[in-house]
Amino acid sequence: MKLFDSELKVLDVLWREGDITAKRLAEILHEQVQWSKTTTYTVIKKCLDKGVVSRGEPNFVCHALISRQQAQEMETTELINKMYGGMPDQLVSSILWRKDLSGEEIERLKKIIEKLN
Amino acid sequence: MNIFSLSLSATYIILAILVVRTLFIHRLPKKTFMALWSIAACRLLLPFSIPSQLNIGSIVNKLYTAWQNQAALPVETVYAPVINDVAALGAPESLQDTLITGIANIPFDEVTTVTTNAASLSWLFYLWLAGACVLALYFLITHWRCQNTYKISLPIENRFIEEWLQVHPLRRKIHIRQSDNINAPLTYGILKPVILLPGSTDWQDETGLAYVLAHEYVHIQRFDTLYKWILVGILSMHWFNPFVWLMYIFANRDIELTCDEMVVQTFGEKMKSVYALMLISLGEKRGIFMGLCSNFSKNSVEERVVSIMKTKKNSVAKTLVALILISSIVVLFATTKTISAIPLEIQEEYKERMLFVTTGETALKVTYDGNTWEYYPHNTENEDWKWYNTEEFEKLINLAKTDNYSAYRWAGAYEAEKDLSKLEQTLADIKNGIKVSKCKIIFVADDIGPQSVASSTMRCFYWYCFGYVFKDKSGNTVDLGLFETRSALFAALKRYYDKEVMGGRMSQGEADRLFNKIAHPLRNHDEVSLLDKFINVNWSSVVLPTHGEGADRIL
Repeated sequence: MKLFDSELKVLDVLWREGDITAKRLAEILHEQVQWSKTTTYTVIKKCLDKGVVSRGEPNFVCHALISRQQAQEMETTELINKMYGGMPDQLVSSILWRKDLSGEEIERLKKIIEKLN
Repeated sequence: MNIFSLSLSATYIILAILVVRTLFIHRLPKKTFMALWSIAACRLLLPFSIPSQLNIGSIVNKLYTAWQNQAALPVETVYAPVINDVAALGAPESLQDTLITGIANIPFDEVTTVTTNAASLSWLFYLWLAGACVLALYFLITHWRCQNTYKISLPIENRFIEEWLQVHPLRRKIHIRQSDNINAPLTYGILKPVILLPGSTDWQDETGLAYVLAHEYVHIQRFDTLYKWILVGILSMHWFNPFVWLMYIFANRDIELTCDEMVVQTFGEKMKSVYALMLISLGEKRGIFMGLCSNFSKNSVEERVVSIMKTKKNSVAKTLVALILISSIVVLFATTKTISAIPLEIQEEYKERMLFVTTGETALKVTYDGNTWEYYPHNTENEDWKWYNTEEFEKLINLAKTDNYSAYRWAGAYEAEKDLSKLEQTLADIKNGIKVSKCKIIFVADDIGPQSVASSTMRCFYWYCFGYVFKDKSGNTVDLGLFETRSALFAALKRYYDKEVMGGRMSQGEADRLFNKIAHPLRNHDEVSLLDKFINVNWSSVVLPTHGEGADRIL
């Protein structure tokens, strides 16, 4: 399942703020990304359809059904499948070759890999 | 001028622009084509015409006339069946000749203008309206759907973009946002413009970003979104005209080409290959209505790349050529054939024409080019030629039933009464004692004197007016005069009887009985005024068949 940026934005607010009403969510997003109330409700509807958010009573309280970690895993899996032919090691080596990583960071990553082995 | 004649007149401009575009697309400043499309757009939107002697139609007419005089084309053959029909109705032979030769040259669009009839217009009108609504709705729904997608975009936090916005101020505040629902950059909103960049944009590639933003900025600066909406409006109005569809496609392309040209000129010609390559990599598709343009997008990207690579500095010579092209297209195509406004004195005389049949005065007196012609629509000596009798009118109705409209027109029918039920009503009126005049009027829509009436562009109008002649109680003949419409006749009759009752010569009951014997409830179509109809038509000098054998019979 592919989550669009707009849907992740809604989830992001829910992860940070916990369960909040749709109204409050619209207020926060209006301030953050200048969405109108209807736009926010449209995106919430899409999240409901994808089953990543649930909406309950009273006052349409929204609740994230997936954690930030789960969302990250989903995105990573998709990235691995799409770009690295389903092989996670290719992704790791690609990260290690990135120019914007400092020597320290690379060392830290290498240690994580060794530990997992 | 109705929507169909408007569309037809604009078709010539569109064709001319397409030719010019094919020849000069890479040779002239792109703004030239935008200007040309704007002219076509004005022509399609504004329902009035600017007459010009140099209009292509005027020129063609003149050439055709000259050619025909040389070749002595036997045009009569075309109208052979018509001649028989007129003959059957007993019209003078020589008159037929004069008129028929003239009529054969009426250009198609003029005939349609003249023959628009209330009944056929109404279903055509509804068909047109339905088509226009469907197309407009399609665009609005597509726009609304896209707008919903665009609205869930997110702001961009990027130093380069913030700086770019600071150095590109505009009275309208520009917003730049990102969305992963789109594949290519686009701009929407007229008063609150938003540049939307795809989520996959490489934010580090500042050169690429600068080009993309420059391109979108030009669109915003020039109100291209508004222009596109106007084009959509025109297309919806003229949906039945395939050339307007062509105009829609190519005008949209030229919006992009003009925009590209301005970007290349801003960044300098050395950068044009970089810009063209970026365009290819983006596969940039623009617009609110991608669905409609997608079929042409492959060609148009190719055209855009070639156009960018061929962009050169606009020289003075090029600008001059462009200006000459634009003005000649305006003069040749955006105007209409010369039809000078009807002179006031003719309008005045025209009003009097209604009185002619009873008074025997000149129907129309026209002074043109130092000569004066007088026109009598009827032979006053001959009563048979003046009024329809029952038998003649029945023949007319039979002609109408054969669906041979031109023959029917020839028989001298009232134009708005192609409708059989209306004709039947008129027949009933004749049987009831109302006099219905045979009336033919010929107007020549070009500046041609009587020596060439036979080969000039003519309009023919047929009309009849209503009169009532009866004997009062004391046996005196009462003639109420002639009236354009039945309602006017009935009103005059009512006034007559009212006066009789007031004067004590008649009881109210008797007056009502007599009035109701003649008058009947009128339907709206009876109220069409000849005067209104004529004033709404573009017509100029009135030229009369004053030459040849026919003239003797008429004058």
